[in-house]
Amino acid sequence: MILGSMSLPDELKDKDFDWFKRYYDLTIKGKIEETAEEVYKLLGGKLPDKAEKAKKIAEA
Amino acid sequence: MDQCTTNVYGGQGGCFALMEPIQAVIILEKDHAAITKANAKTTAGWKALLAPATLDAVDGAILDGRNGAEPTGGENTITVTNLGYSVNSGVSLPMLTLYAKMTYADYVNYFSMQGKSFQFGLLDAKKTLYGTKASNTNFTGFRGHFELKHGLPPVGADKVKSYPFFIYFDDIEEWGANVDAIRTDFSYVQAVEDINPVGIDIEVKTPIANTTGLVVIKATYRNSTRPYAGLTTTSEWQLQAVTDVGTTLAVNSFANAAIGEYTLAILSGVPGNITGDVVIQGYKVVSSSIAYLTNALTINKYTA
Repeated sequence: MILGSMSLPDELKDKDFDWFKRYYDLTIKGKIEETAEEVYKLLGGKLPDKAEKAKKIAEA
Repeated sequence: MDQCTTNVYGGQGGCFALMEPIQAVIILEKDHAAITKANAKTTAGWKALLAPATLDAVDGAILDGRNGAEPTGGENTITVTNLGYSVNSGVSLPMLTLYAKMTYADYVNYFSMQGKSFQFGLLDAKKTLYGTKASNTNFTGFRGHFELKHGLPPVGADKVKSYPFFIYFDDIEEWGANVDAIRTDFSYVQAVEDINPVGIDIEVKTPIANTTGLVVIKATYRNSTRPYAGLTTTSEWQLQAVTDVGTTLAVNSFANAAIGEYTLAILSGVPGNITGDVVIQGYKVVSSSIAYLTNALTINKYTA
């Protein structure tokens, strides 16, 4: 998928969002306007629901 | 053990033209996708094998032999016995020294294939393609291997011999009566100029960075300074060899593609520096065929 002057592999949608967020912060952040959530959704990734996220935080 | 077979007399034609010299050699993987003899008569048939739509499906390449080819071998070994009889005690294996018309950047790409077993198709100056009679349906090349020249370049007139391929044919049974000559629809010039993808050189402009895995690659038309701008999509780059499971590659920026520069992100995790070297290659598909193909480039892991 092309975003700005960046081409992201479609396989990124298969990673979980936490992984993708770290990837975004590392290599994408600041180079395009879209947020990590927006890019993940554009790639076709499924964002985790809030309850699941809260559970993960609680477990951590 | 040699065996004699039934004599077959096939008549005598009225045309006495001599054989033409070999002008091009098709290198084929041993387990290449089948190509029918009908398709082997066309450049489209060969493109499907040598420049398909995906890099992994490439099964070989064509060597341009217009700088000359010297066949040797295939001679009977006549031994005179202690009683004075002359006996054919064997036939030497054929060999072909092909002086490839290419650049050094092309030549170095073949060092990885030295000594490996391939099939070879031989194309002469008058549209005849030589293979074996192993199949009535499919084209089958001669089994063999090749060696290349290490060392310094020659001088003067011998400079045309700069890039020799010493091709050794390994199976004598494929020769003689088992040679199959196919009349093609294309000339050797079309073969060597229209089938192989255009060569692109890639090199590291800025080495891989710590943590982010960003590395800047410069792409130019082979043996030139002319930038190549066509590798903007991640799917046009391929990791050919990796050290770490889960290594990813993405085009992080093609903003400078016009000057042939691409920033790639190569990571083994997030964050995760690759722990060993990786090999990348780029290719561009046009009309379902690879039209541009880069050399394989080793990206060294980050070292502080």
